[in-house]
Amino acid sequence: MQESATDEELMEAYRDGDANAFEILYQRYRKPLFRYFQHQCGSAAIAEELFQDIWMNLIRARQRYHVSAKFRTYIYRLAHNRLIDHYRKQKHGIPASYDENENTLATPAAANTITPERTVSGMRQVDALLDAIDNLPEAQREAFLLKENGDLSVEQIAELTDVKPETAKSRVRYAINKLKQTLEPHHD
Amino acid sequence: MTNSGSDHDDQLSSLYRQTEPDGPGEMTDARILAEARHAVKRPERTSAARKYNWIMPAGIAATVAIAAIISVIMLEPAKTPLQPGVENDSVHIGTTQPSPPRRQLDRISLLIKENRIDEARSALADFRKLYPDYRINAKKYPTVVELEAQSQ
Repeated sequence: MQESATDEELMEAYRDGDANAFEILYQRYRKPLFRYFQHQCGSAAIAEELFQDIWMNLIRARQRYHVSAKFRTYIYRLAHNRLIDHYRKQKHGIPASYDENENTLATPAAANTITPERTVSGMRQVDALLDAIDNLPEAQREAFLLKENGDLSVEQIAELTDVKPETAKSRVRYAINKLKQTLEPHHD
Repeated sequence: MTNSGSDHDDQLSSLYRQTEPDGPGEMTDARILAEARHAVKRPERTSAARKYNWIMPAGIAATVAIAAIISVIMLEPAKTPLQPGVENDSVHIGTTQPSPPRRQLDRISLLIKENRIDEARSALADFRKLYPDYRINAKKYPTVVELEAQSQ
């Protein structure tokens, strides 16, 4: 199996017994998927656990794989489902930000924001961005991470997270606006 | 930053891509890749195989049931003549119950003996309806054979 093969071709080849195809696919998604979990959960240990689970699930379910959707959407759906499962097992359950009725474009609480003073006090811009991502509400953060790590469209994000396209769009917009607001230089 | 209110921002995306690329630990990589290789080497129980995995136990159960039925049939004393028209003494082996035709013939013999000839004839007629081709053993039931001969 060639490096130039599509994700779908690689997954089908693996389904049919080609372990090398899996390795190529794994290398393609290894970092973005891990970063999705790490930034979403805020813990490398939990990210490792969830990351490993979805690959093991993929391996176990390989015989049921059919090219009905893009592999990219398929694997991120597995990731999203595993994440929601993880939230369910937590004390507080699924975060309130996942409620579709929540007004996602409302201004977040001040306690959740990075103050411009912190941004201009020597913090590198990329560190400030990571800090700002950590402070986004979970659903909006996930939408942003799916877009940036998964390179997914708003429609694909809506599909794999089982929300309306408007909701997915609102979450992405909220995240972008909030991150931009945090990173903009402070002007008095 | 550009494109305020949009669902995409080039500068933000560019900045995000500058963040340190993280990845899972080597142990996690090794575990996943080993499992992926191991999984394709294992004989896969396909959905079709799972669908028909009841066949083997069902086959064994059916074989046992058939064997049991045959054993019961073989051990149970025959209640009907093995060959129509020929009495088989072997049917008495292991039992005191005569087979149905012989029981009826015994009854007819008894009726004749008791001189209840009309009842004997009637019973013989009924017997013939049930066993029209049955050859009555003249040595065992001479009176019945005689009565039948008289009736014809």
